Amino acid sequence: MALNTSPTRSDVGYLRRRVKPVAAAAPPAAQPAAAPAPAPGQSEPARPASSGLSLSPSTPSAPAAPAPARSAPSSSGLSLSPSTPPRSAAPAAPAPAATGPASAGPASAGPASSGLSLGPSTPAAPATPARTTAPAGSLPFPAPGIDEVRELGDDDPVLRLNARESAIGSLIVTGAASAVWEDVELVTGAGTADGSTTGTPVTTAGNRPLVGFDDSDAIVSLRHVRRLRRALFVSRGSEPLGVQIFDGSTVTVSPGDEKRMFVLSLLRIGGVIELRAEPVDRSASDESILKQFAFTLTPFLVTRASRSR
Amino acid sequence: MIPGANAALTAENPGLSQILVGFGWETIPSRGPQAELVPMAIMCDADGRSISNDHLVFFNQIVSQDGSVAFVDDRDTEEIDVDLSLVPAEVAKIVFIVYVDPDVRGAGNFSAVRSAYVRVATRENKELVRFVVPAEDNRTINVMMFGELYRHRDDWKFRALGQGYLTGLRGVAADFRIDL
Repeated sequence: MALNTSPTRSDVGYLRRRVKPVAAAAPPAAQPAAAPAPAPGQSEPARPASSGLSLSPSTPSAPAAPAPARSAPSSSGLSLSPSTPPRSAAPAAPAPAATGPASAGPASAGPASSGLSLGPSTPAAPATPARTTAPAGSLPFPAPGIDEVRELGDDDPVLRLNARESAIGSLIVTGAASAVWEDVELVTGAGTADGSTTGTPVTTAGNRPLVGFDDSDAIVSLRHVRRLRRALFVSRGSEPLGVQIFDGSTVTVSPGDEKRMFVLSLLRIGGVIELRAEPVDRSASDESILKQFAFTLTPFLVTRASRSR
Repeated sequence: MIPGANAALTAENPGLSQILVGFGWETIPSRGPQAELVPMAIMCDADGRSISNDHLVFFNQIVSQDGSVAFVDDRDTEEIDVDLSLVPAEVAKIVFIVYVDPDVRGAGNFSAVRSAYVRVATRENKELVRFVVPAEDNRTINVMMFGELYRHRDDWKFRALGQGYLTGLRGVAADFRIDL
């Protein structure tokens, strides 16, 4: 398989998302340039976003785009091992659960000529403190904060919360008719404002759903934000989507026009939450929207304690 | 230790530089929403104000910019490591609070919390001081200051606090001049 050994493109916003944070104690320049190696022990690297970044209905190939590789959740987005056949939907699909060292190192399998300093070619990497989070500088591009945006829509499609706003209290989404969530283990479920759920609910240690509805508002439990990978909120009524965080800051989502509406995409990048207004066809069903954004609901198995005879 | 008491750390332990501050508690189990406690370290100047918003360390902002304070989740329920040698000179004290996450779905106080403590130990986990937070009527308390590390001349000391807030993180934000 021909490998692209050209340096990482930093001028293209989408590709910049793929740049993983480099440890401060990165191996010296002995290694030939190449892509930065994921820091071992870094439990939650700034993950590239697979959620609807390029999934607007105007993109004809949207449904085939970022499928979060459910069949191999433990594989990294690099999948450079020659033994790994190329995925059909592989194109720029950023991979979800890159799980640090385990995913970084098919050492023996990788051809030595790859030029990518993965695995054993970076013996000094363990010097990285295991607890360092993605440095602010590793965020893909500047984005306004919640106080700088009044309405998410065509003019301001994205905003980013800071680490404190992303982790304290609840993120409340008003006006949502349905919500879908995906945690870091790709457990996926959906719920509606009337209380019904499908897929797999994710319950936190505080006996609250990671994402769920409460009094017709969708609530994200920010205490467990690092369990959340992404979520999507869809409005069906006349009320626009609105977001409120702990400090009282709010933002609304543009209702769209006759042909299209905006859904709210929530994406966690490292320790911060990014909110995006994504246009979809107004006539699209919830199922097709989930498909557009590559959410695949995982089956929910209710387990029972075994009975002794 | 009792609330208000202090203990010399570096004066009693020459060469002490790296310490861990461990927090622990028990929560009365419940089928409904439970209080979720979150420790946070606030690095303050001589006026008792946070140096900046970046001088907070908690689970989602896990290392201070200077690297002196880092959040870990290790031997205790929660743990914050401090490298005293790296603490900037402008930091006069480091206050350790524990807040109940203000989730809108309830259980936002310490009423179900028992056996809360904070302890200071060496990096090798040799315990230096331990403060068991008094279990009083905590039904209205949603943030508790467990203790603080503070400079005393050229040394560092630890003071047990055990003071509660009734105004939650908003009160903390106002007192320490931080944006939460």
